[in-house]
Amino acid sequence: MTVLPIQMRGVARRFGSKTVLDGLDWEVGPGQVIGLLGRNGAGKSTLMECLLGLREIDGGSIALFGESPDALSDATRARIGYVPQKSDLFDWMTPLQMLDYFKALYPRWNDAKVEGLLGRWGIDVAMRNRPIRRLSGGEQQRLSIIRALAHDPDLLVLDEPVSALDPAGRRDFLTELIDGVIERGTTVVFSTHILTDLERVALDVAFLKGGRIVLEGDLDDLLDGAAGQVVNGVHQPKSLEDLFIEVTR
Amino acid sequence: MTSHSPQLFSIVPGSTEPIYRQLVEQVRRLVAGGQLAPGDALPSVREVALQLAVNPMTVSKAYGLLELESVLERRRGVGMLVADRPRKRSGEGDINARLALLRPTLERAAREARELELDPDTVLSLFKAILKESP
Amino acid sequence: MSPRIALYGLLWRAALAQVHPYAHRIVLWLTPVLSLAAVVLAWKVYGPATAASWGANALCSMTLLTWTWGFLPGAFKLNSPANAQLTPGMRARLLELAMTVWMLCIAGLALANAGSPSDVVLRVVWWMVASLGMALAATGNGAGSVVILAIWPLMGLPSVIPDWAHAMMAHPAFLPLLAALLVAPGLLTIRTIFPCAGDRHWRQLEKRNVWRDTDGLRNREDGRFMRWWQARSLRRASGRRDLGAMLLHGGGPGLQVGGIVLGIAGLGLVGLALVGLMHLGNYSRAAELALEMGWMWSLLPLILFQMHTLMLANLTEKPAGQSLLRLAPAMPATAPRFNRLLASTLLRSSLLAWAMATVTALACSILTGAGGDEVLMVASMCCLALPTMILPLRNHAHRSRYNSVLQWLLGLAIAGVCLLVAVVVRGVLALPVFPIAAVFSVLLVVAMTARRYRSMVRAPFAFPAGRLD
Repeated sequence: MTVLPIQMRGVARRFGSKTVLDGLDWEVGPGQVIGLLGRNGAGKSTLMECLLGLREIDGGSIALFGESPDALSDATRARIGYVPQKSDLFDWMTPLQMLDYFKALYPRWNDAKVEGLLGRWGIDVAMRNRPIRRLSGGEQQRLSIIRALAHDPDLLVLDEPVSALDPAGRRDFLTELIDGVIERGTTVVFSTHILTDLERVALDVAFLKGGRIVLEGDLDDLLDGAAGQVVNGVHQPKSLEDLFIEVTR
Repeated sequence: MTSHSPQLFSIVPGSTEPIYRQLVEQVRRLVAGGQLAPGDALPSVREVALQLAVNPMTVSKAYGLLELESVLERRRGVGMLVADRPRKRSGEGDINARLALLRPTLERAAREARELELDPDTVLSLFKAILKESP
Repeated sequence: MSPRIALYGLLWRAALAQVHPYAHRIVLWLTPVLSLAAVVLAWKVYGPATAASWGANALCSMTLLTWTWGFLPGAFKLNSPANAQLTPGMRARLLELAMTVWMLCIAGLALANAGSPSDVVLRVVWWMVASLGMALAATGNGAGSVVILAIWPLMGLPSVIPDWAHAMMAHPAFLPLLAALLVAPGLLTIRTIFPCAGDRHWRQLEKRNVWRDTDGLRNREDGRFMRWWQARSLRRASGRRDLGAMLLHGGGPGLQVGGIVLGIAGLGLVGLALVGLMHLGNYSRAAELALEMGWMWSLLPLILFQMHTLMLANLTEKPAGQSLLRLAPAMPATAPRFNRLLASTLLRSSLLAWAMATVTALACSILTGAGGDEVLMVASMCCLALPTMILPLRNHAHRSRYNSVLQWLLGLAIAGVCLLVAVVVRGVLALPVFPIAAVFSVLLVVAMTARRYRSMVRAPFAFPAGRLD
């Protein structure tokens, strides 16, 4: 029996009087590429932070590769990659210094991939030796993604990873996701508001509403199912956008 | 036998049709129209996925469905080839198949006609005129 | 070199780089040079035994200072919640490194000073415990100031320590024993400084009040009272159309002089209350204690005044100042008028803070029974602290080349120059040092203020639409 990368049962999380996560059950199997959708403020970032153990939970249990997030072993930590919504890089270091720093800490590090990504994603030599705080938001976000991919993780958690990227950057990211990540069978969980990107890459989607996962399943099946609705004798096809608005109403 | 590049395909994300279905429809149309001749090699799953920036599983699902329908066949060591289908110039099954391919487009046109509140006869005469004038 | 040690070196350098890219190299060269200088000096004056202890003291103290103000803030930033939780082994290595360096320094200090006379031992004990307090303060933990305040008597009031304690301290085994006892609190402190994700960590990040930290575009959340006070002063300024005050409000929370004035007054009252309590308790040596404490306490308002001027000088570095930079349009035609308004507001604010600090200092000294000489000394110190007033009067359109620490050092340097001149004058004219230095300081400040005021009015518009970097 393979260990599930993510297993959440009855997870609850409150901020003061506001309940953000309310008895949430969720499981993500190995190799799944799942998109997390929800309105602004629905708790997607909180869900990801609680999942990885960055915030405590007020109830329920979480298992990451079978381990509880507050007692992760170093081996499991090396299998997880995370791209937060607000870039979390050390802004006084240069990109090269930052990557060297993490290379010293992670057991597995793919130099060729890092070199390739830095080259393909437009982080040229001049930029590599400039402190990160001097880079633009898009460049910092790309660097965040490179850092998360560099150690070939088995679980990749991405919180709006392309919000600051232009369409070309998004396409580059999707290509890398397909080529380097999905091919290797990595489990990918990501949240984004750009539904076209999600549709291309995600096989499953989960909708977060009212502190729970209200709808989850294969994207194509969900769209087909929604399209199967017959109104006034005519098929009413639904796009992912329509489905999103309806489910999270 | 020609092998085709992945630029053959295009998809429209965000539409009401799932991506795998768009690919399936495209292949069917290309085969029916003759751009994909029997025996032609289709681009690999990975190439198409990278070109269109879609999940390889989606492409693989589309190819799988087409294989089930006997539009494509899998040849070991070569990949996916267009199946040899007996070209029946006149045959019930063939006509029905081709009509089925045209159906989605006609359904869309019918929807638009209803929205424009045009009655069926006017629409049909317009359609006949268009069919006559195209080369 | 084993990979573990290489990793420690990497972490140390990465943390120090946060202070300054060359900080690591500077420290690496400065520490042995200064220690060697201390050894040589002590050898010539006292002899080889003292020289060794001076050298060890210098080495350990400098390393401890680097550790507190260089390594720990950077390491705290390295230990962000995501990294602490998800990067394998990073937090553990940082904890080990911090603990090891601290323990080595403490052990060095303990061994070098074991068996010294008790007043030296007293200062060493203070230094050891203060290192933990400063560590907490350097990473923005409120408990740090509490610790430092609590052990203030050790340094400032040696007479309060009873005689048997003095005898105990003179024993050679005292310091090593104390060092061993401090291991547990040290471990606790360091684990507090490096939390491992969780809500407490996020709260600590939001509360960070290391005031010379200019990055991190977050405004500090003041307490409820301060927010009420600032809202009230903003309403009054808006009602009165006091443009200068409103501008300072726009520059962000904490720039209004009201807060500093309240702080200074509060300090004065606390000091007086302590003295009053001691008198009430009929403590026999109350008078002496009051004298010693009044002396120290009266200097604290001056530090607050200097902090205030430094904040004003770096008006545009604070997060809200950044907003003013981005929102204010370029208005070249009215630049002199605007700059004059800004300059006079800043000057008024600094003068008010200084006046308050001086009054509090003098009042504390007089009320705790200081004689004429001491009061004169306090007044001179107040005048010597005045030079930092010129710091806010600069060209705000350009980003300052010096960070706030260097600016503060400039203020201190001017005071130092005045002192030197006064020493020279004493040699020539036999006049007392401090009053002469105070007079020089005031004259210098007046001259420099006039000059900088004029140059600030002539400078480009203080909040240009695109910063001239």
